[in-house]
Amino acid sequence: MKETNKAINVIRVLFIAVSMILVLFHFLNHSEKLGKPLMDYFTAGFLKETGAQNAVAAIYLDYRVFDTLFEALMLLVSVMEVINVSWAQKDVRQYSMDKELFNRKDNSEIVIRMVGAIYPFVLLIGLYTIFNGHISPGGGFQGGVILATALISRYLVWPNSDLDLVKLENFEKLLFLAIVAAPVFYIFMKIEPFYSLISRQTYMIFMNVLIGLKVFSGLSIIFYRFVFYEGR
Amino acid sequence: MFQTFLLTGLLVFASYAVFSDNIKRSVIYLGIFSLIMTLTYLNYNAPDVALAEAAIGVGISTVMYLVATKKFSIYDICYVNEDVEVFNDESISEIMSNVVRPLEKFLERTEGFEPQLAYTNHPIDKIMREDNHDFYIHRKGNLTYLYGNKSDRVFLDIVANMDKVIKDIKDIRVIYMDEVGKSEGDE
Repeated sequence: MKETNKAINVIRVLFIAVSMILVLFHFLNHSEKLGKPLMDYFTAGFLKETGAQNAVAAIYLDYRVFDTLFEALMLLVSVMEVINVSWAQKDVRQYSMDKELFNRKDNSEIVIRMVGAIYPFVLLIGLYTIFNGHISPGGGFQGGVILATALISRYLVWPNSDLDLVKLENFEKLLFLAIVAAPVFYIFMKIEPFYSLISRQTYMIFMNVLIGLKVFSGLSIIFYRFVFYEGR
Repeated sequence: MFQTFLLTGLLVFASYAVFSDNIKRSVIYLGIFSLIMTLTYLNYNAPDVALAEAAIGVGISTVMYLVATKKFSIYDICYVNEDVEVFNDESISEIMSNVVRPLEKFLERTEGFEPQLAYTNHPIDKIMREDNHDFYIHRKGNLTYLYGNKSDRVFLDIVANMDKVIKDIKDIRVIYMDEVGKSEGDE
């Protein structure tokens, strides 16, 4: 590695200082004072318009659904990048089932028993967070992460790679297609069989389930790739 | 009051996580930091964000960091130069091209260890008594001493490939710490 020149360092610091002053100046002097019309718009009739009792769910699944699409895309791209990078390791040593069927020699008995006791409750909380995302705090992303935590705690008990990651990744891509398709048909093109609270709520639950499953499979792929394909 | 308590707790555990000596302990402190962060989000009426923080910060990232530290092994090197009065960037960049970079490259490529270097100008026997490093480079005048354990495979490899690892230094003595008293001359 070459040592950087001192002049370049000075220029960098100067550049950062000048841009900081510029941004702060513009932010303090020319920022638009909006008041609260946007907030009033979002919080006034969200139950009637979207069928969600949780204002956050109303925003990310209805008013601002375009953002959600790109968030889902971001997770998909990062999962693909993790897979791509972890192949770069030349001597890939994949742990397989037939080597050691049940390798529990360095796992403590306490952890195994406790994880076994907690496991169903974690799954239950994850599913509850997904299905009640439009009513209570939570939603697809949070529920999916909790489900992924359950799968990761499974790794503590059963440290073998018996998951078919390729299938899981294809599943995730299909889910992304569904996540894009559902708002396009329902929100953007306004195709709905009948307008009612129930149809809106069905859409909310459907989207939350899709997002939850996608986040779950994405995070599990990232975790299992890191564990079994990276390092020694 | 509760808010001040939470924010102070955040600061305290963040500094614990940064300044702790042990990486595993740092990870646990980071988990506690995330837990207090969750409470703070709840205090500011953001339950959605609090849920995400709890699931990601406490659950996934803690387990991931723990697995990563399990996979990752550090070779702890201490560079001692008693002749330097104040150790600053210049004295480090002096040894950068002939000792530090080749050593790091050797450890990463050949041994698969992550090198971690510490620089000091304290007397060597004090450091050996107080800290526990894997490998010491001690420079005194024109002489360079390498201290290590004979049972340490990596240290033996470094000694065997000395011309690759440490360049431009001629007078090197190797001292095996587990066979104290018996010192070997090399080169």
